[in-house]
Amino acid sequence: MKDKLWKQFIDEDDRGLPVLQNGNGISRRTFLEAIGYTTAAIALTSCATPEQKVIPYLKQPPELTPGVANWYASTCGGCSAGCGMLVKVRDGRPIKVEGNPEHPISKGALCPVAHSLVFGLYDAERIQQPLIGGKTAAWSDVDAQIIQKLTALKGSNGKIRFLSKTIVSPSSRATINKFLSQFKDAKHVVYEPVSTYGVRAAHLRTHGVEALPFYNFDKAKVVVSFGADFLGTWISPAAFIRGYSEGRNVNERKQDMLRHIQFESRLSLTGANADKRVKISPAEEADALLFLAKLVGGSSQSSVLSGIETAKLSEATKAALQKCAAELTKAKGSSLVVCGSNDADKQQIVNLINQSLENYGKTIVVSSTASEGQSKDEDIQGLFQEIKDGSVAALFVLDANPAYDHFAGPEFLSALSKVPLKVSLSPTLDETTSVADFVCPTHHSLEAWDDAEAVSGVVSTVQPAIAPLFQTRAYQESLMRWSGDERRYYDALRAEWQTRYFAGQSTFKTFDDLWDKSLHDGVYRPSAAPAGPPAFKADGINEAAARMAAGPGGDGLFVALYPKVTLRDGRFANNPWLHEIPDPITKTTWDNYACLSPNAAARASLAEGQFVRIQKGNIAVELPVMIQPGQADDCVAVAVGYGRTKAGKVGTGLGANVFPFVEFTNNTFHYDSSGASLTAASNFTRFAKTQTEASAEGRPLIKEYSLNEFVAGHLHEESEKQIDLWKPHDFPEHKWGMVIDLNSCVGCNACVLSCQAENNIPVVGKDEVHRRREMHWMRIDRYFDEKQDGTTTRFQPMTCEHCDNASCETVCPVLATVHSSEGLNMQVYNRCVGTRYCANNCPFKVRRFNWFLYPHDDPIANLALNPDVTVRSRGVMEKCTFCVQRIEEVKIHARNEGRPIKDGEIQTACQQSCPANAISFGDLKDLESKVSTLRHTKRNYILLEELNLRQGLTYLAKVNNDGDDLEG
Amino acid sequence: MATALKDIEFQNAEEEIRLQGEIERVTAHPVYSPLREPLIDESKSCSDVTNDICGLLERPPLRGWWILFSISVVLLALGMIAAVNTVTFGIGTWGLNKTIGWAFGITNFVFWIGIGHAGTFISAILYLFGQKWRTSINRSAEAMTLIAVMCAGVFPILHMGRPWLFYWIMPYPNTRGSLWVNFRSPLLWDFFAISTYFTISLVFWYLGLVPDLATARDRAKSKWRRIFYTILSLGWNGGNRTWSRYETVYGVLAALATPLVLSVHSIVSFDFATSLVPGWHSTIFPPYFVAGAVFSGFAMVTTLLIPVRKVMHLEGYITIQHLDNMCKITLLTGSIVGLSYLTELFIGFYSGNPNEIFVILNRMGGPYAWAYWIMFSCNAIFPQLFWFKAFRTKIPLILGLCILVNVGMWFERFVIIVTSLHRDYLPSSWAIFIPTLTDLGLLVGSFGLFFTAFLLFLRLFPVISMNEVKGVLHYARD
Repeated sequence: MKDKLWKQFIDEDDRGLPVLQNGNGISRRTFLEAIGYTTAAIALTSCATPEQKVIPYLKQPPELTPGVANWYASTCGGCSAGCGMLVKVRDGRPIKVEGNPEHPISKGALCPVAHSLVFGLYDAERIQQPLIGGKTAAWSDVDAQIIQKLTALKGSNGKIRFLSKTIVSPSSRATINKFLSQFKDAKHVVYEPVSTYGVRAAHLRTHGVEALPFYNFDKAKVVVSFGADFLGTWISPAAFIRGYSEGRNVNERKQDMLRHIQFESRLSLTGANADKRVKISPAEEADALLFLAKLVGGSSQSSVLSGIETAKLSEATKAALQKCAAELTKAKGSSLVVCGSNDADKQQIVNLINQSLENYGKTIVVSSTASEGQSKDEDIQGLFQEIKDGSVAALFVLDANPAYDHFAGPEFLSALSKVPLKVSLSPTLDETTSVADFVCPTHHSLEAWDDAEAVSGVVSTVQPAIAPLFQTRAYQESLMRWSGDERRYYDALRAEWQTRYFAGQSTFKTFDDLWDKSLHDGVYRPSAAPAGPPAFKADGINEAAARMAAGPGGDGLFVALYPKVTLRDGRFANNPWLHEIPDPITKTTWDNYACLSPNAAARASLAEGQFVRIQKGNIAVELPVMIQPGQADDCVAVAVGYGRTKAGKVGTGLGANVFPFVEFTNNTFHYDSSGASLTAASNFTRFAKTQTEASAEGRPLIKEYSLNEFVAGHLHEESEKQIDLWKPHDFPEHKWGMVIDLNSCVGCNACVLSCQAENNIPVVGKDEVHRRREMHWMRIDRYFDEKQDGTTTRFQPMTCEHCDNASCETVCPVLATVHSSEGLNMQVYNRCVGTRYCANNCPFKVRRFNWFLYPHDDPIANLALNPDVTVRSRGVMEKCTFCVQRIEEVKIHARNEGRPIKDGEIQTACQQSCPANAISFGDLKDLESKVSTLRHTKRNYILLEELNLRQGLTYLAKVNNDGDDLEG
Repeated sequence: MATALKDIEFQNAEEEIRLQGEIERVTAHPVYSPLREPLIDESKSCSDVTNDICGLLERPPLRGWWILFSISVVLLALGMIAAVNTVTFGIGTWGLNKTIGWAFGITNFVFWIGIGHAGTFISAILYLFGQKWRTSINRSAEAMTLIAVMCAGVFPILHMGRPWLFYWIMPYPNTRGSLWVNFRSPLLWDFFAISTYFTISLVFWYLGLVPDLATARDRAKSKWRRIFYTILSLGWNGGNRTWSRYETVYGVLAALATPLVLSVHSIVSFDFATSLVPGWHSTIFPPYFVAGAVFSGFAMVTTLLIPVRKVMHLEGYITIQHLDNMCKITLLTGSIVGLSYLTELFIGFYSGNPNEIFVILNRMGGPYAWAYWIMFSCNAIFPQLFWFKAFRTKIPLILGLCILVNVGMWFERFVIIVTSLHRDYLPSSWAIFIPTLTDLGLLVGSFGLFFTAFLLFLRLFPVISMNEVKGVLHYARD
């Protein structure tokens, strides 16, 4: 019944209005049937309550009004950071996610990956039903056969292995453990291809807890990062951006700001935002850490440190480190040193530095309880060995894909044939899953019940926002079936919570109170057991320092692997949104490439786009060259996550897989390795870049000041009053305006993806992006500036500026773009004839033209469309509307309640999604509103003010904390 | 003199009377001017004129005509394929992008509108100035104008994202409430300017044709030919009163058309001049565009007439003297264009506006520098060779220079449009335009349309204004 209904819903019409659209020939009976099916379909998919029955709208559920969105608190399943999110559900389908402001860790911040989840949900290439040997099967058959095989195994000594990605859910882990406990030799192996195990392993050594600490960037005055891309990809970037931007915020009252120094070899998003960026060779990293540890007083803990040699360090690096050490020491207790390496030794030295600077307990908090369910790099190696030995009797795989992302992927894949029983629970038919004997697809995270405890003591809830689209089953439920437990996972989850959380508390009278409150808030914080922070132990520091000092130097070229801000480890490679978002630094889409510094490229006489063969031992890969300023000369940086062979229609065959360059030494994966060589190939490729110019050509587009200038008030002059030839517009009620703080923006792209999801912006593909025809309404301009002390990078979010003297409005012959009485520059799609004159005359080039009829013919993917926003057809112009649909929604709401609109009540999609809170939006007629206030601060400036466009969007100038550089 | 007159076959009584008056006038005041060259080959008599010109319509097409026509139709077909491709799939088939919203389409539009300036200039302005040599070329120049404006008119429609809605740019009564066109938009002004210009050029050309169509009617032997020319000649009887009215209306229309020659391209230049794109936003554009238009128009007329006089054996009518005169006008307008280029450079730097200075430097040394230097050399340097008599009288040299001018003027529009757009205010959006096959197809196709229509004109209508040529037949003779 359920499937039939759903099929009907899809087959008839992707909008769910099957016969109503047909016009003639509808009998009354058909009409009523259609209404019945539609309402049933809506009710079915709106799984706000755990009730899994079809409810007709005889009596409309009180929380559900057709056309009005419901919001459900949940947790992002994109990575193991577990950020809290709110899911917007319209007529039974999730169409948008936003950060959950009540979540104590992420505080409403989300990264681009989270925003792309919605598209992933409606990916028709997810496995739609269970498979046996690659052929579709019924769940009952799958269960029967697996249970039969498991029963046989129960008595034997065969090794049962459960391989998964990081599982931050305590309840899921309990389910897995219960399943594994049936067998004599069973083990849960957690594997992350882009690992942070080094950080945890180091804390196990220094604090006795294998835990990821939490970093309070907002409390730090000086942050020093050694290659940690904490604003882009490292551990929990969305939450870090929020803290970082809070720390860097300056205004009339708060006149001090976080100072950020970055030592790195490739230009990362984080390095691009640093006040001072020191380009170091990857070979220098270990010595730089040791030298810094020595300088900040770590040598009292370690005899090796006091005698450390700094021969490998360049003079510039040494000088920078000395200055840096002085600044850190000055900010003792409110500084923070992080390192992006996965080497436990390096992390141990970092811990020592932080300990010497008395940062523990202040800017860096180590919980007394270990963060569980996290990966251990040596475990996957152990499993690999067992598989090769042929001793694994059954392998269960969940969301792990070693056949692709393990450095010995192909070998892993062939070894898998030695495992007699391979069961995959992954939702997509990836490289590993496609060789499984049984494929039991689990739900998408937006369809599933679960909980998440990424940081100890903060339990987030995961609740479904839609009934499963396909015949999938929660993996927990599959495991429960195979352990003889016939409950739904929902019941098991509640039972788990009852014992785990309800039992030990007194705030809530009934379990349902606790449950409902947690579901509503999206988070539950059990009263933590009072345990003091674990003490620092200096054991093993000497050995670690000695290993580092003796470590491999810089022989040949370093290969530095990094995850991209959007694609990360390649898990979501079938999501076109993530491919089309340009990399914040290279502005390139749909590809990975070998980043080389301009010097290195010139030395090898390589041109951008030319293929080059990177060879290290017997590993070789061919990639096009990307010339990247700001990178060390002796390294080639390549993004992982590409070169998927079985990702799906979108992701297969893009770029090349560089995971084979990962090395396993000292019990952790290493993503930097030396000894590579380059050979130029003769073929070329053309990158699909959204921006090809590197510099701002010296134009004053981004205004910036040093902190001293800001404090002293030496900012730009108030501009002279411009003379208008035209009568100004009359704004009787509202005048919407936006202010973007360039000091907060880190260029993470969350706004771009959020805008894409909110406004039904099509994906156009690599060729079209190469033709410079991407459709994003929002973009982030990136400008490099080559200064004496290195490359500086600046970001400038750019979208329609909603000018009062709009140059686009005067030139449109058919009045398809006009000014609203609320200051919006509106585009009337059905009036537009497509002369593109408006786009030519827009100095910001924010208008986007529909060059073709972009396909919307996938009925499942179309479910992701926002029904409040028109899907544009071929030949019309489009652009940012300041989310006019959101403005109208709030206005209607306020009017119904007979009250004025509150400041901050309207949030544009980009604003709501900005992890840095860089975007403010509101009514400029309301002089008390936040935007009005910001407009009168001294950092406010108007881009291209000389054109007298009277924009609705202004910028706040960037402030750089030059620290002691100026004073000294 | 009298012996020549004996040969005239009078078509009707009226014409006989007119010509007798002419003879009397000529005999009474014999014109003798050893300083002037005759406008028409001295051997031509009035009957030769009629026989030569009407004969072209009556004989089957010559071999040369067929060859040219076949080539033109092939080009036109290529253009049609490109147009169908554009309308079927969208403007994405062109090489445009988010930064460069106009390129080949609008370049072609402005180019053809410019070409369309020579005809009306020759027939209206030269008429008012009493330049008698215009009579041999004005008919074909006017036809060329009409065809060029038609070629131009295709592009504003094709370049629209939704060309089937092109009529929305006309202010027509509709049921959409207060929905109206935007009178502030230069594109709307274009619509009015071009439609007015086209209408008046058509009427002017047609009016001039009527007496000649009557001649063709009177000579017509087959039924259909007679019906065709009868309808078109509007019952012309050659009476004194008819001639008198004709002359009056012709003069009035010439006076009306004259300001239009200046206004059309001024208004087309407003598309650019009123915008805020650096390189477009320039007050010099209206005069500069008009001069450029006449320049390119004359070059195109010359380019067309040189093969036509050869293929159609009209050397007696379109003499070296005519070509020489046209070269002189090309030289004059070319010099104005060259001066405009230099003024633009000077003003760009003199303004002190960094964006303007950048545009100029980018044009001269940026990715499209080659286009700029083609433009500059073809329009400002090569036409200066017309100072030398040899370049104005040797057919291959004239043809070569005129083709260069046509190339240069096409590139002028390309340079103005593309090099200004491709690098404007924000370097983040800077882009490069690379034409696609569809772009090239439409360019080639517009030439196909132009030549096809012109060759059909040669077959259907008297290519030289017989009645006016007969009037100047005796100029500088005797």
